[in-house]
Amino acid sequence: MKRHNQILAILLCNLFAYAFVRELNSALAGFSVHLTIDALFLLVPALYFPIFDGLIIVAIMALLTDAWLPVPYGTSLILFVIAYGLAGLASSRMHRENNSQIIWLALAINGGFMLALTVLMAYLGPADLFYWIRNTFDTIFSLAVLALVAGWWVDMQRALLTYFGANFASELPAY
Amino acid sequence: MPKKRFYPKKTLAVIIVLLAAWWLTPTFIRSFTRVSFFEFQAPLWSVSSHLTEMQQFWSLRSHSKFELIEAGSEIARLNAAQKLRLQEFESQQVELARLEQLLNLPSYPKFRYEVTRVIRRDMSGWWQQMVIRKGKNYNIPNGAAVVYSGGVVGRVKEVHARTAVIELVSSRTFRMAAHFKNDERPVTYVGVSNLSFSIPKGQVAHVQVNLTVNPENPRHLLSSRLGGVFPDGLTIGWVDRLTPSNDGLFKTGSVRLDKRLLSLHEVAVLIPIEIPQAE
Repeated sequence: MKRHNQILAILLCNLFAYAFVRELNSALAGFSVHLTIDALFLLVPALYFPIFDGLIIVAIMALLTDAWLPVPYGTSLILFVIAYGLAGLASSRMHRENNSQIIWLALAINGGFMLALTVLMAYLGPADLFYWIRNTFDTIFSLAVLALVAGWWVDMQRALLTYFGANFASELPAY
Repeated sequence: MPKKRFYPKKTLAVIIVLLAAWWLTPTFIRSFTRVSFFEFQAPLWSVSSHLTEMQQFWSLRSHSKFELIEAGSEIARLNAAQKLRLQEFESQQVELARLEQLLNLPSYPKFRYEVTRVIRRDMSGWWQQMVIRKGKNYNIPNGAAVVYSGGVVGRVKEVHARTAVIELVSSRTFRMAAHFKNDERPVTYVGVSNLSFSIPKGQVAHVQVNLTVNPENPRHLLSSRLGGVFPDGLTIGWVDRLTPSNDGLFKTGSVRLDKRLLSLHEVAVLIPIEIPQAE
């Protein structure tokens, strides 16, 4: 029961962030700026959940994101699952309470995700110089925002997990 | 929480199995999943749009009566001018029908305007699209033209139960038939990637070499009915420079689109009216 509550809590938290980012992008449309911080959806599942529990959250978030994207359905799922696996493996070699390491991990995931999507969309349609400049700007902007919020976001979700019965003190250091 | 959660071999196996399962999933299941996930979140955006409208309503309520009276009289003036134009339009329509009958010409396609609110805008470097609050429930057809007071907005790309996705005229994959004002020769309009903090732009191709444009007097690019989607004469944008294309047969140029395109709140979908054929 405790496990289900933890999954649900993180899933709802991610859904809230997802809705907020969508609304923010709608507001930023007037400036031709787009924010992509999808790495937030898989940080806590990769850092704190068992592999299958985290995978449920990540898969749901990926399918939800994919439903809106004009790319072959499942693109986000593939990218999210690969990133989740790599982040999960990386989490066993890092200090999970160290915010700077979490930020670097988030930046690497998000940067990889945006790069993959940029290359895929260049393959699916015409891509001139403006395309690459625009996507470089959006990537830098997204990574800057992510660097500001990733640490805080993981702290907040960790507190939520503790509230729902997770006991991090009983764990051995994960490094 | 377990101490060690990710083992390399197990993680790799899980990823491979999941990806293989997704790859083997039949297309209809994927489509069903996509529609389900889309429809699941669509009400959230509709509610958000309704809340924004309510917020605007309450902010408008705070205006003084004098402001409302002033706005009312302004609308009355505009209404009178529009009524005169409507009369002129109706007489032109009658004349057009008479000429069509006289010359035995096929009539132009007719459209019904379905005005709708924009509930979400998505202007990334990858794609440029927006979501409107009407879909199958208002018989919005796939591929229909979408316009606003400033001209062409785009084309309906996907239709869902209560929402529809529009591909914007500034999108990289958008193209349509067009022509310049006072020049009926067809040209091709193509959307291009837009830089941040700049006005949206497009590109015009297949322009005849004898057509000239100067930056002081930009030429008006209009929609053409040749594509079969848009009616003739809707504004696409303005062209202030043309350069010879690589093959030297035509000219190409950059099209300046309206800035309002990025922050639209209301658009109209043009739904073709089926004219019954005479027996």
